[in-house]
Amino acid sequence: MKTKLQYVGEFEQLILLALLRLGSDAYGMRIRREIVERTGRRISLGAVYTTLERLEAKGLVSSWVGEPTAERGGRAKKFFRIEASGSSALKRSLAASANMAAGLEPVLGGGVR
Amino acid sequence: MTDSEHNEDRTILAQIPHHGSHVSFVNLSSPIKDHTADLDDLVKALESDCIVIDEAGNVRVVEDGRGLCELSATSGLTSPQSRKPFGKMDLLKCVFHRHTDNGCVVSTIPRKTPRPPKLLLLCVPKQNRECLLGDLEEEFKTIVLPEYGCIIACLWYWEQAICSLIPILWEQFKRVAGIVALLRFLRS
Repeated sequence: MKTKLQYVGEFEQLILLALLRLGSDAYGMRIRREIVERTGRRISLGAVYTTLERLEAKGLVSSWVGEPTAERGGRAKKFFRIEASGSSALKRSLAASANMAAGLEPVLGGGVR
Repeated sequence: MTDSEHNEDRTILAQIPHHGSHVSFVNLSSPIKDHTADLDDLVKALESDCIVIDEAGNVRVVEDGRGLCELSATSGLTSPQSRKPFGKMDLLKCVFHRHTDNGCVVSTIPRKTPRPPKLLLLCVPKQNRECLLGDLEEEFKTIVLPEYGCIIACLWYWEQAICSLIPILWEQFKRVAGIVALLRFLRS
């Protein structure tokens, strides 16, 4: 039986790329700031957590809870890590976007990055 | 204000050294002591309520070593006696009075992280509630508050809290709508 290939949406791609960039220090605030600083998009923590929860339900990321810290009012951090299936889905989705955009540089005006 | 109170103020203000290459601070706990220290020493010493005057002359309040709360003369605070904008020395007097008498200015200085909206507490799933609130508080204390000051930081906190509600509520709506659609399909 052929397994269904997983793809991820545009915002999910940003979250997964942020997880790859941050490595072992990927938690809500850092992920949000990474995306805001690199893309200039205004996003909320609620959007980040909702997406991470969805990705975790699909088995593309995993999470674990760290130690509580004083600057967080005694609350613990929840760290996230991209799984192998998440990495594959991200590659597949980025390749699909790149394939769709290939040859459209003149239309899109000066190249697609 | 009585003469004795004026004298008390002068005494206290005289204990605050002039700004220079060092950072000066006054410990507000009783008895009042003044110190001069390097910035690094000061950072290590921040364990109790302090007024801090940094090299640029900015006046800050530190509470329990948890973070700096900036007091600026342009923050819109008014003197309880004169209703005029505060000068730097007025601020020092008022912060001192906060600990010595009824402290009429304390309520206008947001010194702690704002309380999150109750709707946010209700709507955020339990498994993410603590970490989401912790992230908000961490960014508020470590990045937004030192960079932008109290008022903008509080506005930022509320904006983030309210904007966080929208995707969470939308996700829950989709779940409920999905269940309703499934039930209708099964009944038909």
